[in-house]
Amino acid sequence: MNEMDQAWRRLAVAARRAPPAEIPAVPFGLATRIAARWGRTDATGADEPWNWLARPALMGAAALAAGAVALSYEPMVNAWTALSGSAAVLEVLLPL
Amino acid sequence: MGEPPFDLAACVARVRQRDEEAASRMVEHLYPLVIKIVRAHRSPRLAEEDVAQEIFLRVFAKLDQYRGEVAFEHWVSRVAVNVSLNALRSLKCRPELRWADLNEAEAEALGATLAGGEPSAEQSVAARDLVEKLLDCLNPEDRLVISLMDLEERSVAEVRRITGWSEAMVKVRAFRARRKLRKHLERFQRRENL
Repeated sequence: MNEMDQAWRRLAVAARRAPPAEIPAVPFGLATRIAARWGRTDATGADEPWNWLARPALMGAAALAAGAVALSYEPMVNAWTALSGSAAVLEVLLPL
Repeated sequence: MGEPPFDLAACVARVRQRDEEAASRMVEHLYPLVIKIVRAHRSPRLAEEDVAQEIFLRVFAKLDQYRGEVAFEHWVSRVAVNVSLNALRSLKCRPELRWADLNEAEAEALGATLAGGEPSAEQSVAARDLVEKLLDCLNPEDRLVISLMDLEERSVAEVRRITGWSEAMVKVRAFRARRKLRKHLERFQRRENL
């Protein structure tokens, strides 16, 4: 084993031997403060910004995507048809 | 007549019904467990009361997700470890430890260790503080795995259970973390030999 690995091991053993720090009682008023802070939050967690922002944003994005597809559907189909229609001309022109 | 024994299951049920008094009782009951975890995985640069408060708020917010498959204390421990990790991540930068940052007792304990000896029983507190400072130089995940395995002497399986990482990940992280610690100690030794 590497010398430094052994040094670390010795240090860890010594650290484990240290008397455990005393666990304090709950600081006065902390429990009540935490409970009150939790009580102020909405039960559904709706006060968290992501919760009330995410859903409308997601729905808006979905509506925009659907709108974009609907608007571009016809031009895309027409372009594809025009391209197919010009295939015969291309067949003549390309070998030249 | 004394106070009736604390009924954790009943308390959990009451907290689920948004009972603030029950929430307060739960904080009092779980505080020793939570503060022990906070202290084990906290940077000296973080206030332990703030981290503990964050843990309890997370426990209450996620209480509906507790299905009772494991003991409630174990579930709380896992939440506490995750919140402590996030708190450590929020610190972003990690200090570089130098001889000048060590107090006299810590420097003596380190000197004894690097010279191949073992810190004496009287130096154990200094050794613990020194280890704390060394761990503060690691990233949160490395620090967590070293605290659990080398200081709390937990097995790979236990670390897996606490962190949710795979066995391979626990082993790889422990290996990398020890390598980083080795480098820190080597740097100290070079300085000692100057």
